[in-house]
Amino acid sequence: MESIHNQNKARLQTLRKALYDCQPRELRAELSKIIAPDCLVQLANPLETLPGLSGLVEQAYAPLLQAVPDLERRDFIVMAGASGGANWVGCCGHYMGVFEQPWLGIPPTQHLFAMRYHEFFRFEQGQIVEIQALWDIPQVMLQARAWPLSPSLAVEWVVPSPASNDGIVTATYDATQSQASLHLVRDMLQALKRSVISVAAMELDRYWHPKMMWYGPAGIGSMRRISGFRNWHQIPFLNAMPDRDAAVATGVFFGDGDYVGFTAWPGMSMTISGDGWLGIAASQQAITMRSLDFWRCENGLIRENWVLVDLLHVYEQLGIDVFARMRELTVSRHRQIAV
Amino acid sequence: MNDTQDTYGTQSFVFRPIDQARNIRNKRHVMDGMQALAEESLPRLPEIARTLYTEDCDYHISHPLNDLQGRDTALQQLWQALRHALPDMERREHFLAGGRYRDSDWVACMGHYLGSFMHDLLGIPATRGVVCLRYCEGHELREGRIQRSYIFLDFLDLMRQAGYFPLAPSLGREMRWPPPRTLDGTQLAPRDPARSQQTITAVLAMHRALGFYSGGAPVRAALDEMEQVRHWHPHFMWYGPAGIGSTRGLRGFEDYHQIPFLLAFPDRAGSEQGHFIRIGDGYFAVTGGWGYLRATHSGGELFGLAPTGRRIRMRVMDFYRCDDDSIAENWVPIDIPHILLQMGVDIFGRMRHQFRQQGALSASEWLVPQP
Repeated sequence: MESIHNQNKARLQTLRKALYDCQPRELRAELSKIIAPDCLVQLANPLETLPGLSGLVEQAYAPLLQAVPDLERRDFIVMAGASGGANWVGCCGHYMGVFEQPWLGIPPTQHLFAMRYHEFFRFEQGQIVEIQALWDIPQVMLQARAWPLSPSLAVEWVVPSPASNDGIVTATYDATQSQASLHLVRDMLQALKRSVISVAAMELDRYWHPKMMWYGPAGIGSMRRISGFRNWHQIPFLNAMPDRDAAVATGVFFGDGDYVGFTAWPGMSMTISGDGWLGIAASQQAITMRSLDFWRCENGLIRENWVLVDLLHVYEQLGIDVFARMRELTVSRHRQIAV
Repeated sequence: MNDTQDTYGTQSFVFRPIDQARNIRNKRHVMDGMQALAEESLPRLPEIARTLYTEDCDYHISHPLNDLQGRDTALQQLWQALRHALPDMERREHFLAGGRYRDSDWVACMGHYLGSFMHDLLGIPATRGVVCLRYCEGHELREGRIQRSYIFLDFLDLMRQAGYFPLAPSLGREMRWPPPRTLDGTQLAPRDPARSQQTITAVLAMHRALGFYSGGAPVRAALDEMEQVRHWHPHFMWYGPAGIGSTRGLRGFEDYHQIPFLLAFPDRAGSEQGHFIRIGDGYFAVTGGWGYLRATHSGGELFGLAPTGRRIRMRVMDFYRCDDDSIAENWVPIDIPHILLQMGVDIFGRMRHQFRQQGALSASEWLVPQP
C-alpha cells in the first residue's frame, strides 16, 4: 500500500494546482476540496491566526490576488512525514506575479514580485486541518524599496531551489533514509545548543557541507560556507540572544528522503540581551520566534538550509510597528494625502 | 603652448569696469526681486515681476522649459509652476556677481530653492519631503531692469532627490553645492575694479590654456598640455551638475570629469557665438554660454552612453572664486538633459515611461492610495 505521506503529497496537488493557475472566483471551491472548513490557519504577522478556510481565502488570498492578479505558486520543495503522531506535508517556494496594487500598505511596483513561502499542512483523513505558514512579507517590502528598517548583513535575492533539483519528493517514502536525514539535522541542532560552551563545541563542520548554503529571510539574507553562516547570521544572532532555546522536542520535525522540515508556532524563545542582530537594541525583552525550516542533506552532511523567520512578529513583540514606519517612508508614493 | 591658439576667444576680451554704486544697485535689484518671486504671496507676483523685468524680457531656461518670451509667459510657466511644486519654498542665495559685458550690465546668481516638494514638477514625482533645486542665473539689465535671463535649474538633480536617476551612476560625488568658502558671496560692498579685472583675466587665461589640448587621447601628457596646474588651487573644488557630480583637486577633476568629457568630446571648442557673460567682481568671476561650447560626440562612455557622432551645443555657466594666486572654487551648471536630448536620449521621456504604467500620466496618479 502507498505510504500515507505519498498520498498526502498527491492530495496536496489540489491546492498547488489551484494556486498555480489561480482563478480567484474558483479558489474557495477548489481549496474546500482539501482544506477543512474549521482548519486552524496560522500565518505570518500581520495576517496571524485566521478563522478556517473562509479566513484563509477572504483575508489572506483575496487581498493578495487583488494586488497580484496573475499570482502563481511555484513550489520547489514538497516533502512529507510524521511527527508527534500527526502527518504533515511541507512546501517551500515562491508566489510570483506582477505587483499591481498595494498590498498590506506596501506600494506596488508594476514589476515582477517574488515572495517566498514556507508552508506546513497537517492532514487528517485526507483533509488539511492545520496550517502553519510564513510568507516572506519583508521580501516584498524590499522589492518595493519600502523596507523601513536596517539593511541585511547578507545578500538579498530570490533564493534558488535545491541544487539537486529533487525538492518535489515523489519517490515512495523511504523511512530509513528519512530517519537518517532527520537524525543528522537533530544532532546538528543539539550541537548548536553547545554554543554557550564554545564555537568549537557546536562542531559545525561535522554536520555542515563545506559549501553549505543558508537561505535566510529578507532582513537577514543568504550566505555560503560555514564562515559565511557564522559571520552574517550566527555570530550576531547568538550575541543578541545567547539564551535562545529551540523547541526541537515539541515542534513538528520530520524527514523525507534527503529533506528535513521543521515547524512550530512558535519554535524558539529567547531574550534580546545583546547587540548585533538586525541593528536592534538589547531591550532585555523575552520574545518567541516562528522559524520554519527546510534542510537538504547530501552524503551525511547538510548542504542547503531554507529558513524563514517571522521578523514582523519579532518586531511587533518589540513594540516596533514596521507597517507604520513603512507608510511614513513611502508617504510620497501614496496618491491621496492630506497636504 | 601656441600663442595664436584662441579656441575660446579669450584674446579679444577687454575688461570694462562698472560704477560700483550701480553694480550694487543692480545686484540688490536682482537679489530682492528674485527672492520676492520665490517667497512673496502669489497674487503679488505680477507686480513684483513688473518691477523686476522689462515687459518683453526673454528667458533661456534649462530643458524642458527652454526659451520663453515675455514676462507673463515666464510668470506662468516658470514661477507659478515652481511655486506650485514647492509651496513653501525659499531662495537661498550663495553667490552674486555683477559687471559690464558687451555694453550691458550683468548680474549672475547661484544658489538653491529649498522647499517641500508637494506637487510633481515637469513629471518629476513629488516626494512631500524637503528638496533643494539648484539655480544658476545670468541676467542682462536694461535701464535697471532685467531684459534677458539665462536660468539653469538642475532638474536632473531634482529627479535624483526624488529617487529616480535615469542615467548610469555619476563618476563624481552627487552633493548639494556649498556657498563660497569665504561666505561673502552675497555681500553688497563695493569691489575693487583692479581685483575684478585680475580675477576674470586669471579665469580667461585658464580657459585659453584649455584650448592647448590637441584632441588626442587624454593621457597624462595630453592633459599636461593644458597647463591647468598653473591656474588652480592645489585643492580646488569643482562642483558639477547632476550626472557628473563634484570633484576635488586637479586629480579628481581630471579623473571624474575632464577625461570622460574629453573622451566623449575631443574637438570641444568655443564658437563665434561667444559667451553671453564674462564678468569679474572682486574675487568672483562668471562666464557662461548658451550653445557657445560645441563638440562632436565621438567617443568614450560619458553618462554611460556610446558615442553618437552628433554635433552638440552646450549650455554651460561657470561661477568662480579666486584667491590671490589661483582659482579656488568653480561651480558649473550644465544643462545635461539638453545635451542628452541632442544625443537622442530623452530622460524626461524615460522617466514618464517608468511612471506611466497602467495609463497614469504622473507618478502621483500611478502610485498608491493611502490606506
